[in-house]
Amino acid sequence: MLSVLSILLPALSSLFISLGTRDWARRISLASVFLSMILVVLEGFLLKPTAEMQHVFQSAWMSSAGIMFYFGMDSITWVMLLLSNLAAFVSVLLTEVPKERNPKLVFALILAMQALMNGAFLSIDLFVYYVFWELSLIPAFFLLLLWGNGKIQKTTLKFFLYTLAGSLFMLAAIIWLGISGPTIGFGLEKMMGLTLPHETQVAVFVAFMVAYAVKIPIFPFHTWQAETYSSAPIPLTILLAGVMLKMALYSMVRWVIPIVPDAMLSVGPVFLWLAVFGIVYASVIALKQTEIKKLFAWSSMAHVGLIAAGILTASPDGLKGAVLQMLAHTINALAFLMGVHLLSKWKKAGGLADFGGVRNMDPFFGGLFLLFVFSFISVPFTAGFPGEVMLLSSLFHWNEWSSFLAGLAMILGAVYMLKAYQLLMLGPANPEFTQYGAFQNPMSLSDKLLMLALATLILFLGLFPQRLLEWIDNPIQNILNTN
Amino acid sequence: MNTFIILSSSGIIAMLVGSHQRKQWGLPVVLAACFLAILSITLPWLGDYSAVLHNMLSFDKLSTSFSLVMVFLTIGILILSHYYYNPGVEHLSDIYALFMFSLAGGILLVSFQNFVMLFLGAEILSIPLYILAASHRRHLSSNEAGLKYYLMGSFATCFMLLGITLIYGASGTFDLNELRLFLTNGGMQSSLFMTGITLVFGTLLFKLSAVPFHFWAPDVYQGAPTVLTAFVSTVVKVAVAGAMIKLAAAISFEGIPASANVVSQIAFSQTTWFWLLVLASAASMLFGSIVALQQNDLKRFLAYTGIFNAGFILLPVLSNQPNVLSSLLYYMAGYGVAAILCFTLYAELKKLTGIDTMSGLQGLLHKHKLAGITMIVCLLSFTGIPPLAGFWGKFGILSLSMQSHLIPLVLVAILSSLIGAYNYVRIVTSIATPDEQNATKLTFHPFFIGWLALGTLLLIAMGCFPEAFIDLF
Repeated sequence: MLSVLSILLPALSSLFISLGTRDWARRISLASVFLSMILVVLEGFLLKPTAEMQHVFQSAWMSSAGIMFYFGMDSITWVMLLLSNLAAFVSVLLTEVPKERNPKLVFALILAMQALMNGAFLSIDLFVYYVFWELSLIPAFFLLLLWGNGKIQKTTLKFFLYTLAGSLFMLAAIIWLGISGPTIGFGLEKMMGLTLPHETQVAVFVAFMVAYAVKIPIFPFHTWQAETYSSAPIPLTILLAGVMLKMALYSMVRWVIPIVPDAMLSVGPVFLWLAVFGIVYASVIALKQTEIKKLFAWSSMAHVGLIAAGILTASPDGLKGAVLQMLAHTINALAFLMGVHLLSKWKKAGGLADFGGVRNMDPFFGGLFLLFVFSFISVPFTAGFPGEVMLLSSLFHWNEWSSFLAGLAMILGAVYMLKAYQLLMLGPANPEFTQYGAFQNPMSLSDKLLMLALATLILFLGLFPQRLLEWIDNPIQNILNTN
Repeated sequence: MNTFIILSSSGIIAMLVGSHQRKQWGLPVVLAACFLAILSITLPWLGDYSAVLHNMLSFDKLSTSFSLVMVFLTIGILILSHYYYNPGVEHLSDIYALFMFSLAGGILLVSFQNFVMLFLGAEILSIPLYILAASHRRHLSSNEAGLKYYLMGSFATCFMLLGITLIYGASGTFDLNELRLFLTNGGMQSSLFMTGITLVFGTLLFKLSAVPFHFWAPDVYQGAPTVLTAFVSTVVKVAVAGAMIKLAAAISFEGIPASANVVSQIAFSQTTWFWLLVLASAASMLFGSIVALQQNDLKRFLAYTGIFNAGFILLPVLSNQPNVLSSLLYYMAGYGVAAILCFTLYAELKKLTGIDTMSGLQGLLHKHKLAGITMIVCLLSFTGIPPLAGFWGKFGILSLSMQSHLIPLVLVAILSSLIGAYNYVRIVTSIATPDEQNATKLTFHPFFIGWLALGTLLLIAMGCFPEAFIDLF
């Protein structure tokens, strides 16, 4: 029952905001995301690290087609829920909408998106999962359209169509899975019990993977990403990079591996090599970026590609590392984007060369941002490190060359991120940057606290990953042993 | 049968009140008749007419549920017509009478048990439509639409007649049951029969505006009065789909004991007309969605998406599954509600602003919130975004087709849905983007707003509680 609350709370708040007054929109959303966080922590305390689904809720939706509202979580789901609500929390905290741009709608859409993404994580009925998956696209679409910058119509259309294109083939595969087997139904138990012939498995696998490859994104399905991230406002980028692409990675763990394990072994390598190639490709492109958000988009593609590759090895190390790294990547993305958001308060500019000398002006910000960058490039004792090592080792066991290529890309990652840090933070201040009077610190107390909290999380996850790894061990063994 | 009598007599009454200078009574009369018709469909104790006129008509499950959807959609269209026609329009009550006659023809079409009734139904359905298409007498495009529809339609009807004759020549009967007997005794081999049935299906494809019989659709949709366009794209399609399903079920041995089922499936999918329908379906879906990419006029755009839809409706006809009726009807009801809402808004916007291209929709969300939301919900429902009516409609039909192993056709359907999605979402983006040149707010009559809200809620409710609605049919 608790799991449904994680969907209902933001959903109802979203409805409430859209019906309420404009002045209360921000306060209600803050209360809602705060309560959601408390709820997640509560769910975590009550959760046992066993393989079965807990906090289960079940109710029929369309019984003739075997579709039911069926929600539940194990410890992997909980990690996803944690990162989703954390991202929503930060996103709402950073959202400031001028009155003329309809704050009510913006906050309502953010919370709706949070509710739907939570729903996609929590569903253990494949069909309801698809409904949430598809529907979470709609608030993202309107947030981007109503609130983005630049050539927004074109970007939005591209983003929407790419993701829809992937999903429709997944829908066909889901229907096919639902009607095969002895009974018509979409529940996780039935799906895990299916034994499909190899050709069917391959078709289903490809249909699912195309949907995920667009969302993650894996090369060559990535072309929507950089544009979308750079035109989206930061709170939306946080949700897209922090949560939405994790939906795809999580779905690979939750659905693809148990349902089509044979195809994973036979066709999986194609996508794995694509992912590895994508890592190198994205890193090389990231080297040439001059805009902060585009740099983030490309580097994010590299990092997430590694997670996807790790999952595709279908090994315990790969999966554990993937779950760990998903959480770490969200925290890193939150921290980095928060830094970018604060920079943009100083100056409305998006280029790396527009800034400079920030560390001298504000050592606190500069210092913490360095930690964020370190975590991004996986320096030991930061959040990015343990997961990355596990992923690389799983790749190494699968094929040495893939591990070599992915590792190479990580070195490139250090190059572009440190270069970015240098341009943004070090050296003398860019005269243009400070010409409008004296430098003023726009960081509020809550900004500082949030940055400190994120820094603590980064260090904590970097220093004590073992606890989390033990916690997710049972469900992962269960997923790998189904067939 | 009661339904048929009620509707046709209401048409006659509407004509009479018109001729006595009381044309404002036309709409109430036909609306009341529609509600009565719904009662007579849903309350079976009014009289059991499972088979009448020496078995020429049978009001079975298929007929009643299709009639129900048609009458419901007609009510929507009549309300639309209230906003569309000025009270001063000449022959207003005659127009309503023609709608009633056409609807009555549709009910005959889905209740036929005999080829004579199929022919009569198709004619009674179509002839009022030819007149209605040309009912804007002073508009050149309306005249063109009427003439085009009439010429092509009557030409197609000739072929239906020829087909029926050939079937009679082969089997010696007009009756579906006797035809089935003939087919079980090896009649499937008869090439005379095959030619005949293919011609009949061809004519029905024409009425459905499926490729390759679609050429009339864009011009008629664009030129005819919007009310008629809405009628042709919803009610007429329901009627024709019903007739096709009935025909397909009859000649593919449905209802024969289970032991013969294996044979029937093979016979069904090895017939010539089956493959012709598969081709028509795939071609309609692809053609409709691809050509819609280039359209700028809203009605023409809806005509091409209507062609896509004709192809999509053929999927359940081909899948030949037991629960095909409820899925198809749910789909058509969802599509119909969304289409009628679109046409209503289109007509009202054209009246207010005089623009009838897509650019008239620019910034609608900012000009009038509810109107914008209605349009967006309709378009997303067309796209098939869950949980709206269109999503469950597509889901039902696609899962039926997969159960019948029509996988290539399903892939074509998905591909063209995707192209269709581009069309719809493009409009959604323009609705949500503010219009810089003209940002004047729009105001609508409160009843009109209530009507929009009702339709939107219906679409959402159909999506959230699909089972409740599917059980209706």
